[in-house]
Amino acid sequence: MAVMEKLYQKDLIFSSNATTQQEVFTEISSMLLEKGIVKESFKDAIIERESNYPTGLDLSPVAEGLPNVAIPHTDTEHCDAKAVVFIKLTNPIPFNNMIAPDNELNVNYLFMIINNEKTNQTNVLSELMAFMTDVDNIKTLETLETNEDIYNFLTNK
Amino acid sequence: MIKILAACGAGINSSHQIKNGLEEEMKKRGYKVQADAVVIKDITKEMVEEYDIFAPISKPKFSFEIPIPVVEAGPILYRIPAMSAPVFDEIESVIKKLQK
Repeated sequence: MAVMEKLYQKDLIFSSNATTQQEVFTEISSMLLEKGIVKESFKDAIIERESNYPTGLDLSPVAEGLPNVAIPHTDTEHCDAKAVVFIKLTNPIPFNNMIAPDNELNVNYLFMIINNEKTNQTNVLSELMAFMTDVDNIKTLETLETNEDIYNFLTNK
Repeated sequence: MIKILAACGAGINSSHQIKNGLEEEMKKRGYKVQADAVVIKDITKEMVEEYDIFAPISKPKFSFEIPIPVVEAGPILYRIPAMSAPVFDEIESVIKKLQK
C-alpha cells in the first residue's frame, strides 16, 4: 500500500455534516480550490460526473453490515494534483451504485480521487479496492474519531 | 481470438482493470482473448461492431442497439472471487456460444 500512503495528505482528511451530494461536493471543492489542487471547473464537473457515472460501492458483498463508500472522481482536466481526499460523512448520503447505477446506497465515507495525469499507470482504484475489501480496515475506520487518527491509520503511521 | 471491448467513465482507468482482469482469467481458462479499454462516451456503433463481446462497468444507455453480447463487468473491480466469478463464468459461456 506504499502507493496510497503518498496519496493521502494530513490536510486532505475531512469530516462533513452535509446531507446531500451537492452540498458535500460544493463544500469540499471550495477547500480543494483554495489549496490549489483542483480547478474552478472541478465542482460542476464532479457533480455532473457523479450523476452520469455514479461511484457508490456496496460493501455488503465484503461483509454484512459494513458501511458503504463512494469514490467520486472526474476527468483529469479539472484536477491540478494527484491525491486521495478522504471525507467522513457524519450523515450518510445516498449515492448510486457504480456497478448497478439504478440502485441507491447510503454512503458513510468518500475517497475522492484527484488525478491530473492522463497516462497514469499507478492504479489508485485497485489500491483503494484492496483497502476497502478488507473487513478489518473498514471496521477500524469506524472506530476512529479524529481526522488525525484517520490520517495515521490510512498512512500506516 | 475473441475480441472484448471493456468500457467505463473516464478518470481512473477502471476499464483497464476490467480489460486486464478478463484477459488474465480467460487465459487461465484456456481461451485466446484480446480486450481493449475505452471510455463509454467515445463508443460508437461502428466501434462495437469490431468486437465479439461488450464488457462495460455497468449497463450503459446508448442511442443505438448494441449488436453483440453484453456482459456487465463492474463486479470484477472488487477483486474478490465472490464478485468476479459470476462475471468470468458469463464471459466464458458467451465465448462458448460464439464457437470461434
